[in-house]
Amino acid sequence: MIFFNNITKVYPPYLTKKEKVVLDNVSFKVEKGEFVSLVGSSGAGKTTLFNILLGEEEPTSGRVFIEDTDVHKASPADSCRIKRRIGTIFQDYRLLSSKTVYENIAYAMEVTGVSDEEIERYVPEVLDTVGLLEHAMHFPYQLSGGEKQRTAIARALIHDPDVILADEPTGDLDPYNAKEVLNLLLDINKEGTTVILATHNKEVINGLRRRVVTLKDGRVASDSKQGRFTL
Amino acid sequence: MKGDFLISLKRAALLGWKNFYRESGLSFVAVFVLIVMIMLVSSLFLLSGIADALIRDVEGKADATIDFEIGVPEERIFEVQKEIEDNFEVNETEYISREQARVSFVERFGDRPEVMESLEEVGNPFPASVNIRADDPYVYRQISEFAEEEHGDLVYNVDFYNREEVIEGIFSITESMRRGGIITGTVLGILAILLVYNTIKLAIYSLREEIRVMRLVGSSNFFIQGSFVIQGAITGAMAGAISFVLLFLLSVLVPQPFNLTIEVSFYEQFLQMATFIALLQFGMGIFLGVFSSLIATSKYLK
Repeated sequence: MIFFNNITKVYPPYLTKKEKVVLDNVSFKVEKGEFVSLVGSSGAGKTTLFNILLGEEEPTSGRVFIEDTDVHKASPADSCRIKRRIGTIFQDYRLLSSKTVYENIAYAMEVTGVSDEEIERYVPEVLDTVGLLEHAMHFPYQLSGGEKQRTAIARALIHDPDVILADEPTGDLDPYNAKEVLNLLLDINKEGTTVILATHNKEVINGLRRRVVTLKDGRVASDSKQGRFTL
Repeated sequence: MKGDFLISLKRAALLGWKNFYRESGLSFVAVFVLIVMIMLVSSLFLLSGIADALIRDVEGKADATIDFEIGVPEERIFEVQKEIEDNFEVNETEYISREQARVSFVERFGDRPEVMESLEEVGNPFPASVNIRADDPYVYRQISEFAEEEHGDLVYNVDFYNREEVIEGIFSITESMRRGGIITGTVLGILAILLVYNTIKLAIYSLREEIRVMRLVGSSNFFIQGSFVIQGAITGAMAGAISFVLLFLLSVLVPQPFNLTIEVSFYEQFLQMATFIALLQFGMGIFLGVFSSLIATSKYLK
């Protein structure tokens, strides 16, 4: 279970003289095995909420829990362990450009200290799942957008994580590849993995018929079980 | 736990090596900057070694000769020789009789009849003398003063005066070289650290997104920093190795006229200092590479 408890994030004045409130008392829970879409226009605070959940940013106030662990009070070692329970997928893929597809995925396992034998067994399995086995030795610059995103999904899956955070994963993809990525996320969810999908794509949301949390002006504007795109 | 640490270390080392050869452009720049700095600093040490060798060479060749008036009995000369040995820090003194001086003159110029003819006419014009060798050339001045003040009636000439300026000149040059070397070495050392640090900082800055991704997938700071530190160490070791070969080649290629004497050549000096130079170059390269990587990565790992 993930619990966002009264999260507020305020950025200090930068170019303008006013401070910017990105998240304003955001609270909601995500149960194990749920598929939740986080909807909001650009700048609504979806990515900030993900960064806070990953411990990459501190909330100005409020707390985030994964099970009983307060993400921002975890020790560095626990923080690493939390990140290994969360698979992340981003619109810009965030692959390691100097590593091949195989190495990008293997890296996520290497950092956890698993044996070389396990890496050699599981990486090809996951690559097969996302249909990238024949691209294993390619570098990211040799892949199409859809292939890059599938690599990112494979990397997110390699730990067999409890949660997948997908931030606009279809944003840079054509409709065919977008559908493929979405189907992969649904398949992952069927296996019991919690998926939180942040998007502002109306067709994607309306096609899913799953829980939708809508963020507007930094607040939770609506939270419906079988929601539709309402912005 | 120990096994995990060793696995992490092995993987960080492998990653460091892969980063080094895959980012060959960045590695080339970093190695090049390191080579320039290592070469400058190690050349200074080599020059300092040459200066020392030169000083030793000059010291070995420097001596003073006290010529005695003709007619001074040998016993008196031996007394003065003993006084010098007892009162001054000299390495050795050697008495050269008038006959020995004539014999060595004949040995030297025997093939020149006109010189030999003149010698026949004047008989033996050479004075008896005492030749003195000391480590510290300033002793010569003291001995010279002593001989003239205490035994002015016996001493005809002290040959030290004729060479004093030359000896002092060489000492002054080598001393300036030493002082200049320390100052230049310090300035270059600081420049080296700044330049290498900034080069590696730029290289790591370009990888900040990668570091962010590494953190995202749950990589520990030790693992991330380890791979960059090893990359820095490889860069430094590579620069050290290339610098060693370059300095060796330079010492071989320095043309003979620049080699000051047969005894003091760049090549000989390089061979004598090879272990020290290798340690200096590798140590400097690895230290700069590791230190810069540590500082530059820690900024992105807070």
